[in-house]
Amino acid sequence: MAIKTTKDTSVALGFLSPFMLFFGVFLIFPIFYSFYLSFFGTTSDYSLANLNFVGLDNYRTILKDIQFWWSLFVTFMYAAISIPLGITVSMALALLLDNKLFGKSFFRSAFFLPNVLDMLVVGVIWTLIYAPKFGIVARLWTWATGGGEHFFNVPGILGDPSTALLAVIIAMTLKGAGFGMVLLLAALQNIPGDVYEAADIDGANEWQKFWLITIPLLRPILGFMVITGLIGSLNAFTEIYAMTAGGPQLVVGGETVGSTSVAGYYLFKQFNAGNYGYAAAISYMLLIITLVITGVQQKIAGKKNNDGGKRK
Amino acid sequence: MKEKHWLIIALIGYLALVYVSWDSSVKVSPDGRLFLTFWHTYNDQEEQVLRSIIKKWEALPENAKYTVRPVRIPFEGHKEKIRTALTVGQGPDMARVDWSFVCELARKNAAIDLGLLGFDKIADQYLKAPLKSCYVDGKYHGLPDQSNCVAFFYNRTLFKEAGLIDKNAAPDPQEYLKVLPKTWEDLKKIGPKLTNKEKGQYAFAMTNTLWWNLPFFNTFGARIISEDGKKCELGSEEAIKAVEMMAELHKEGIEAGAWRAGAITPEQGFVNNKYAMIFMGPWNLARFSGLGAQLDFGVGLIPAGPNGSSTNVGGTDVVIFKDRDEPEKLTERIKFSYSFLTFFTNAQNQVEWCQKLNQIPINMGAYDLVKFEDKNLGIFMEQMKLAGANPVVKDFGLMEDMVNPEIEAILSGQKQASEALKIAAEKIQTRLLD
Repeated sequence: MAIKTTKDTSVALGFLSPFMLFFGVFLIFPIFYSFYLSFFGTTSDYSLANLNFVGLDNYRTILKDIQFWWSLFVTFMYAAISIPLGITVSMALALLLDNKLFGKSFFRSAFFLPNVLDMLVVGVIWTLIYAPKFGIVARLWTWATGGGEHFFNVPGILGDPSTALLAVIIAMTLKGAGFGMVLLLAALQNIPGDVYEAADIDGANEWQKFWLITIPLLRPILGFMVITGLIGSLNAFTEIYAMTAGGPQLVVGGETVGSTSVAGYYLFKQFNAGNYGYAAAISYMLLIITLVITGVQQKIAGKKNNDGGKRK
Repeated sequence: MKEKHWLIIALIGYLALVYVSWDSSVKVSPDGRLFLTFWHTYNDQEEQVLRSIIKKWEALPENAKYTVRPVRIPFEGHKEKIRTALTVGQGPDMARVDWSFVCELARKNAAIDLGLLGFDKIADQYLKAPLKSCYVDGKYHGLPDQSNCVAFFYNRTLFKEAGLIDKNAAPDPQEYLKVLPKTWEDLKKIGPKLTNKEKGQYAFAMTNTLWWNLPFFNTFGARIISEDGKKCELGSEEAIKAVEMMAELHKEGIEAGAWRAGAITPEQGFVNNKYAMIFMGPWNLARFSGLGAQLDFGVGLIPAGPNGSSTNVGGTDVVIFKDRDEPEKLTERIKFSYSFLTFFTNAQNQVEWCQKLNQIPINMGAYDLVKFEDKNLGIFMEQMKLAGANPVVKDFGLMEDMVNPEIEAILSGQKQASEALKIAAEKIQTRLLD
């Protein structure tokens, strides 16, 4: 038996080894190497052998870097608005398509379609939709109000610091809602019908059934959507690159900062400028923040589930 | 079993493909010459002319041992590609790079000091402003191979509609040049006539990046970095006045706000007859002319400020890289690379290059010999002579990152020019110069 197990393991490892090789070279190694890199400054030449060891200096610089902390704040704003909005829209679409609806398959595909498109393409399309004076939104407003100077023309939705981030969020919510819809639809269809029948017998109305049955039973999938949404926000880059390049600028306490400069975009700029060590340190800071938030969220979710269990 | 055969065939095919496309070992041409690798970013037409010049160079008896192998890399991302190649020791012998990259290559000890090869003796053959981008810490680390600048494009249709030109008059460029603003004050005067906000039409549109804003600074005589490269002078009176003038253009409604995120860019608005005047470079002449009746345009000099008309300098330089194994030695490969680059940019070859490709010469000797059919190129040659030198810093991109947001804050009325430029100057001083 033991011989068979050893043989099985060897065979399994043999089959896994090509993948493990790629996994090791392209994922595991970069993870450790970027951590190592985060302790180095810029090179005096192009040789990696001459990397200048700076210890924890990159991490100390991050603590004093106002632009980084601002980008983190923008990222949390992005997450705080986009996650609930994304879940709400996905839920609305899922509930709509969970009913007997004419052309249900068509709508399901139509809502999911933007999710398949490249983020950059979607970003550029929305930039054109929002464009001042000649974009669809500005034109519709001009048509509805009879013309003249208005916000959608000057400065435009993406040109004003108070609306730019929201505009990006709306575009990305509509792009990603299809995926959330599919997840929630699958979860909705897994809820046994007899639970609702029991609630009907107890005299529950539609709202009570939604709030007290549907939402609690969807909690695992909602938790998953919150975590992936948070990770997505911390990694957000392409949409900002395509739509605003971190702008428009905003003056906060005398410091000029980008109103849509999320952490992922700030990281890209550092990397693009050749500050590899500093960029690596930022990515590790973001990783730590993600792990902490995810841990806290998991703990809260776990506690809620346990409390729910006790009430039963 | 059948699948196994297919797998083996696919594997053999793959290995064969790798073998035939593996070219790192190719060091000798079929006629036995050693290759000098030249990474460039030219387009098809340009590469064709480059190859013809290479043929002429290798035909010279003294070059019998070598030839140049041109390897095209995309302009977008060429800096990253070269950085990576140099880091792993796989760089070329020579490369064509954006003008702003030379300083970094010099400071990082990658580009050869051409003075050691005698370039100082022939440096005065080249246009002064582009040559300055190669001059780092008192030495020439590259030589210009292609140069351009921006000039003032104007939309004739909008000039006619505004009544500045008789609608029925024959298209005489001189008539337009008469009404084209000669100074920034002139632009402010005729601006309202060319602006119709209801129709989304504006007299002028600008981009907000440091490079595109250099014409403003230069017409006001403002320097970004001092002559010795040690002090940031962005907080000077001249620089403040230049940016205040830009902000006034926008505040008075003459400028469209094309610098805002998500706005219609100057180029798009100009092509669609919405912006009457923009800064633009010669790279768009052919495209704009190709639009035919859709776009009736002309080119003039940039309006003058207190320092007269001026512009920025764009384009590319060519550099020779140090030998990885013997970085302090002027090897034979380096000497032949230099020989090729000086041959490539000499007056005679520049005439051929510019005449065939409709480009501005960088060799003064070719300047008077080139005759263009497109009269607009003549304006660019005139404008080029008035160009101010670009600021040479180790990281121009980082400088843009520090300046652009501050200027946007000024244009959007959130900061005073003096305050914002002072902040930007301090950041540049600390992070790039000290």
